[in-house]
Amino acid sequence: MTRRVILGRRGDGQRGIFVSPPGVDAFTAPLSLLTLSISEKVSQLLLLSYVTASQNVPLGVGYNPIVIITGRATISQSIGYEGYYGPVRPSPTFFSHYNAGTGGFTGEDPPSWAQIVGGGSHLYVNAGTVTSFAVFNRAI
Amino acid sequence: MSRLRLGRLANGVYGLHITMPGYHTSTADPNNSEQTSFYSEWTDMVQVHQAGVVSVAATVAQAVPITGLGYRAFYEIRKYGGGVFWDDSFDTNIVGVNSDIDATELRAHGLASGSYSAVYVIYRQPLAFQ
Repeated sequence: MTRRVILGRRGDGQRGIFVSPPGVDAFTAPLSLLTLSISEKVSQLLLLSYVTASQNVPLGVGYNPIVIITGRATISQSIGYEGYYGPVRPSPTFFSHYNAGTGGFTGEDPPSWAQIVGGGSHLYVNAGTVTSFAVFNRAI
Repeated sequence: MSRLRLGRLANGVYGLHITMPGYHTSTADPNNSEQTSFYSEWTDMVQVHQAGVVSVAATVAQAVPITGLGYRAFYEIRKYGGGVFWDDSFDTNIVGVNSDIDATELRAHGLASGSYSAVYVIYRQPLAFQ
């Protein structure tokens, strides 16, 4: 039986909470293989989600956290790549693409951006395209 | 209302299950992120090694030291300024943050003119190409 959860001291001497995936010993495995490792003041992911249109997202934290946003225009929208799927990098795409709303071809989407509102109560995401966002517990 | 269970979980395996407010560990769906915040059977997780803000002056490469990794890691970096977090590209000229990484530092490269700031997150996930 493998030790999946360690509360206290690990084999390498570190103290904290350590959780390993099935088949991996949380007491001896390298930290990089663990599912959860809390032994120091490190950043954690608080929220990972996406919006399809500009909107406020409730956060409920009392500080300005680090946020990483990523537009998710698909390559299938790009001329010459119809029928293929997957996110285009960088985002927004610089390819012209078909706009189903107008029936014509357009240039690049406007860049998405996000802003903390109310000292951390909300995250406003201005979505130039479908936009995913990751909020971390590290304050700016 | 039990929101944390350490030991034998509802499906019979041993581990750790933490639920969201309003959900009991005996009934919360571990594959529903609105009900469960952590479940030790998850295998598709990655740890955050380091996160922060870097200020970059024009024409220079601003280094961010990385300690305790020993490999070239997956990371993300985005322009940040005036309270605004930008996407990969942040203007109509498709300009992004130019950066690179090795085992000991992340470098954000300056623009031809003008300074900028960026937020970055480094994950404990080695890149396939080292």
